[in-house]
Amino acid sequence: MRILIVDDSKAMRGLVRRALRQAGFGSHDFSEAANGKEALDQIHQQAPDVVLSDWNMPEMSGIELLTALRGEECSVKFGFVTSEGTPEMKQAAIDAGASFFVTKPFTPEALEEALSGVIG
Amino acid sequence: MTPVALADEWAAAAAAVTGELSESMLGLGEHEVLGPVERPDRELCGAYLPMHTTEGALYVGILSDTSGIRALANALLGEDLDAEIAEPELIDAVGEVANIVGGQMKSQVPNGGTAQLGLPIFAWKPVETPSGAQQRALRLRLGSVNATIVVVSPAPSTLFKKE
Repeated sequence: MRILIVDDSKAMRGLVRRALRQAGFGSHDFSEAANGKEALDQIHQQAPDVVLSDWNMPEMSGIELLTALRGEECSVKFGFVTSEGTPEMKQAAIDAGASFFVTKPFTPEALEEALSGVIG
Repeated sequence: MTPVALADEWAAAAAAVTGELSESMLGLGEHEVLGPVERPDRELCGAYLPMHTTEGALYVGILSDTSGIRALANALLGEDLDAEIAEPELIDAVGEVANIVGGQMKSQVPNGGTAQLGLPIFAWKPVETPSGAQQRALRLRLGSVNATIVVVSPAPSTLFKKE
């Protein structure tokens, strides 16, 4: 299974990757993108199975990425890993087609719980 | 809300969230709010996060001296606090700390949920407070790291430039 991690912070991409390994997802293939635009290109080329995306990024935000994907009828499983966890944003994410929403700071257990619902 | 009240409210939230974060995710140990200062020392550097709230624009800064900033970056990365770290990684990591603090602050302040975060900006010296703006600075001890939280309201529009 291919997991795409999207975050404009290299440090955070590394932390997400490490937490995924600690949560038992280390056998999966990881790739990274620094913003929504880069992610969109990678998704077109590599068709990942799951996308974990930050919300607030330059060039293209996470919600813009998700909206673009659903607009082109791409049904890749998509979740947010973001520092902003307000009810309004969670609702907007769900409405746009997100499968899960994890708030930073997160634990490996939180990622495991979120991903277990979308990875069979 | 006046810029004074806005700065007070968000500064208190920033200090509380930074303290909690230092004990949890950063693993720095117990924190303590040491009290307000008129302005941050000129030697301090750190990351600023612009925010648009329903009450006005502001920015939040997390500042320390160079060894403290290195410690904060290393703490996020799970490294020894005094480990060598390249400048781009330091700037990226401290910006992410500011980003997490900003996100958490939104749930600490009434009507904060609708605030919009900008992108973090790193500065090697404290950003000058614009004429007429209100600044609040609070000194914190985060484990062994001394830090200063700064909130300025209203924020200069140049901080909201889309990268």
